Amino acid sequence: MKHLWSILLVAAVAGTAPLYAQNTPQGGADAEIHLPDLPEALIDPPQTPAQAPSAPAPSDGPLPQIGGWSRSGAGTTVQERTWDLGLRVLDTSVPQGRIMMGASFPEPGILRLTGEDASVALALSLPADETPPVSFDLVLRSSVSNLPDHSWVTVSVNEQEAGQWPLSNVEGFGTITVPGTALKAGINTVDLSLHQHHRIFCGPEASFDVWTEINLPDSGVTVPAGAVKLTAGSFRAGVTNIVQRGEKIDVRMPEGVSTDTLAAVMGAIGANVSDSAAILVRSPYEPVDRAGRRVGVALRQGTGGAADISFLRSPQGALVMQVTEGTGLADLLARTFPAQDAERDPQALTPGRETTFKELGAPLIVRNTHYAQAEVPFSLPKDWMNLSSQRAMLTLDYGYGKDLTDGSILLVKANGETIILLPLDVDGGKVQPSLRVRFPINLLHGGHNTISFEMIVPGDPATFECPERDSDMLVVLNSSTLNVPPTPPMAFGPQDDELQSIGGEDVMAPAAEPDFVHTFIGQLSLQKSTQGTARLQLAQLPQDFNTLDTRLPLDREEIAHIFQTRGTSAPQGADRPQFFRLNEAEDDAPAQDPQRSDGLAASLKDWLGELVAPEGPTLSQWIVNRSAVAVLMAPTESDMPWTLVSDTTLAPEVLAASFTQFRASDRAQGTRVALRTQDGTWQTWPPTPRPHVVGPIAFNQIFQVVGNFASWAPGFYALILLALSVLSTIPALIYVILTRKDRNQ
Amino acid sequence: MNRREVIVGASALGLMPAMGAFGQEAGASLQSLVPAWNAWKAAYLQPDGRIVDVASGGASHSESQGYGLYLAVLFRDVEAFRLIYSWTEANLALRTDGLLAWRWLPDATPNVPDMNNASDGDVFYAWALLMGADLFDLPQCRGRAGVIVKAVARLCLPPVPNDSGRRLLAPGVEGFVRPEGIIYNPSYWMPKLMSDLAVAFNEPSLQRAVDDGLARLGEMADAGLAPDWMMATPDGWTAAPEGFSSNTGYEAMRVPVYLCLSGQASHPMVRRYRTAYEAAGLDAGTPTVFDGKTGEVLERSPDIGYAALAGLASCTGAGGAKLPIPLFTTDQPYYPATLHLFVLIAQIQGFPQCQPI
Repeated sequence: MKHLWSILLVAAVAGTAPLYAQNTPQGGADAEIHLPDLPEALIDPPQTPAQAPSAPAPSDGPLPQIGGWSRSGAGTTVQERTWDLGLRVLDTSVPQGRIMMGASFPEPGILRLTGEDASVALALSLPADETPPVSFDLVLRSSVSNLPDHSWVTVSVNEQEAGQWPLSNVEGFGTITVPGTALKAGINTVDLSLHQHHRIFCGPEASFDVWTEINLPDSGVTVPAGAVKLTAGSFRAGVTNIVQRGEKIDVRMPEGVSTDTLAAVMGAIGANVSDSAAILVRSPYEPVDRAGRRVGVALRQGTGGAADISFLRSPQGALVMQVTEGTGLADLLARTFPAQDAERDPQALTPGRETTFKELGAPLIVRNTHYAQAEVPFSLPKDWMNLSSQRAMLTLDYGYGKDLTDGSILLVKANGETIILLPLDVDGGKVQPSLRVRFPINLLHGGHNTISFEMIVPGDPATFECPERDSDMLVVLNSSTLNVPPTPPMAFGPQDDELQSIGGEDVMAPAAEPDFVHTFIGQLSLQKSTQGTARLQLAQLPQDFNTLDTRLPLDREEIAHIFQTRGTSAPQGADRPQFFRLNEAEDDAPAQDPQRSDGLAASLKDWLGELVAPEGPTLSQWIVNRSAVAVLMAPTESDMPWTLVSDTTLAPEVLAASFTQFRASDRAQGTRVALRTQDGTWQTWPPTPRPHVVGPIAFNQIFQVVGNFASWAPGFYALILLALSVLSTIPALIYVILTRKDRNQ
Repeated sequence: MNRREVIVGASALGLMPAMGAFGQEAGASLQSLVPAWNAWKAAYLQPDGRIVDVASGGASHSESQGYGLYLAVLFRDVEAFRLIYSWTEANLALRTDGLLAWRWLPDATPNVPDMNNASDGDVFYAWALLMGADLFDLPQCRGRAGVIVKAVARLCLPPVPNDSGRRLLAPGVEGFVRPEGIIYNPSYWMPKLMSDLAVAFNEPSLQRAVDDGLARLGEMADAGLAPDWMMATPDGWTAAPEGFSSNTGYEAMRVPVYLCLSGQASHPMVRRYRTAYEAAGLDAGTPTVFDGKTGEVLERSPDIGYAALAGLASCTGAGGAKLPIPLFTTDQPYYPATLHLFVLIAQIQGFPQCQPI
């Protein structure tokens, strides 16, 4: 009988196979679904009143199998929960995502030290009140070009040398166990000094070939999870570590928590971490990633009482800062995360005053690699602008080693442009007399700038390994000075709506998805914003399409077209337009048809176009055929906010991080419309934004203002001068005509 | 007990408000858990509707299918409901009484070598069919649920030997009533679901089993935690026969979450678990097996869903939770992941202050 039922059921259900194609997830009662046809006996319960349970006859047969079924994981090894206390770099300006001579991060968490001599200062934070470990690990690997017998790393802990090891891990990461005798509870300084010798060649290329990579997260010490104190200090160290690894700060925010709370908490955390930090705001019910978290933030809705901050260890091992909203949250946050000293920007250069490199925070620069780089970053006021042909003055105190190879040179650059080339192959072995270098001031701009040095010392010969040197190759003293003249307050675009001033509390998004809005609020709160009144309106397509402000620089149809263009497949073959963009620097250039540009007429037309419209093409011309995943638009009226429109394909955290990077870049200056493309770059309009006077100017600065405008659009102003010249001749012509007329009479 | 008594009993448990518009209410309040539910489906639900317990050799059970259908109803997921229901009817509804065979093995021939049922799987499955019938407008499912409930009431509620005429839900139809007594599994007693079914199908005996089960759990709490298995004999309660665990292990760990989901968070047995978990701590993994006599921790597990059970039990205390509920993850086997989801549902519905971290 059982078998008969089985056959009937299988036959019945077999007929339901096509039903699997019907897909109505989360559907309701109106969803058309089909279920297996079951025998009457299975779907028609007896209509009799409740039957008294029958008492089955006792069975003395075998015990039910189910009793022997065990879910025990007795074979599973429960390992003690531990914390890896990795190393981190103290200097937060180490370049990320690119390889440079010296220290750089080719990828998050992997620190590469390139060149024959390189050094870096690291930090190892150990739990307070715990006995320091007897040793710690340094996980590293070196290039195969390193000659192990002549390549080594010297490790110092808290300025006490801990030992020297050969750099012999060329086949993969290996571990050096460093004695921890000098370690102490709290923050320890670990200095690495590397000497790397190329096994075959010598010269600038060989300098790049010798390197050692330190795996920072895997280095350090492993301690029992319980040893990590649940304190704000441990949390700060943990956050700093994950930011250096390139991981996002995981923030869990349930419904009902105020966005003001989110902004306040992230603002407090942001004051303690670098600007590269990124966050991910999600519901506490979103699954956690497989890799889990090391630190996290959990926001909780308050019950009307006082705010509370506590540090917990999640069952997954993460150190979680739990914040319960309530009264006094700001004070509580200020006590938990004391604000960093609001020091003057150490890299700020005061225009009109001779400033030493030391005042700019630059150390003594000593280089001993055949290719060497060094940078002296500094910042000018945001409203500093000089586009004219004036000169700035660099007074260079430097020296170089005796008997450097013929052809050795030093390039001195301002923002990447070479301002002088100095030979290093004559009269070396001493500090040279101060060298005064005048360079075009229009190489500098408001905000961050860099004076950099690039030394190239050929091998002698290049096909043999380098001889050992007992003197330094290059030294740039930090007594060198820089003098930049002041300018009238000018900027590309009006400053009162500057993107950099938008903080988390300035984000508006009445209808957008909570995760989208919260991620932006959190991310912008994490960054340090400048003074200003700008606001940011978020919108997501398609749901917010009809709510977009009609006063935006782009109308709704144009915005829709930008997103639709991205969705269409690329034309193939003959239909494909011959447009190219070979690198990011070309982004600002209008998409040009090479065929059209050929010919004198087209060139003349372009030239005339630039003459009458120095900012470049109009927005409606520029936007043609462009596509994007997000569009940023400046306000067109004083009461309007900036508007950022995105579609739902771009993850909120990706867009938020991209936006914060963009607004900090030079490209954001003066932009009125910016397109965030699918490849992560931003295209901005206008391509050459017009300068604006953004503050009161003195009478004697008028010529500088005019000079800036004239330098910005020389053709345009030449045309104006020409017109004025022509106009100025008119009275003379009139006078001549009138006087000749009188004479004729 | 007549229908009125059943309803009074259900009301006392605080279950009645959940009945009528259950689906809509649950669907709205559990919206935030939908990503976790989707992750759960992606990890454990096959496209054909089979829920796979990899840790048990890739087997499926009436329990796992019942759990899956229960969750599909809570999350108003008609597609998952259809898939699970179809597979279950095709592969486990093999008994003439309408109950489900308890286990399906992928590598066995036939796939269901043991035709016995497991009453907890039947209860979850029937409850989900009952609710799904209204929620998805599928009257056929109500009929199917009725057949199961009638069979459970008729076959799985033998009188407890020498225990004042109590009725307790037996684990299955065959083999649990022994000459020396009846074998029980307290973690098969899901009060809310049994009560809802008792009301819906006018089965006072099932409601009686709920009341008696809660009473029996209360008595057990005086002595310690609930065991995985136990036996009622004419001389009283004893350990289950050899081969059945008398410890508080992977079976009985469900008791507190079932009680919390049934509005019984203040039950003394929940308090017992809270004390045990908090005393044991989670630093070296979550306790999963306590000794039935001494309460000593015999086994711990790194699977995070078990920590969720501890967190929920801890949350029921008046002084605030000492153990947190973890974030959901599918980086764990089916069983702890499913219990983890149950805990989060209970937390959302009854313990908003214990937000997972």
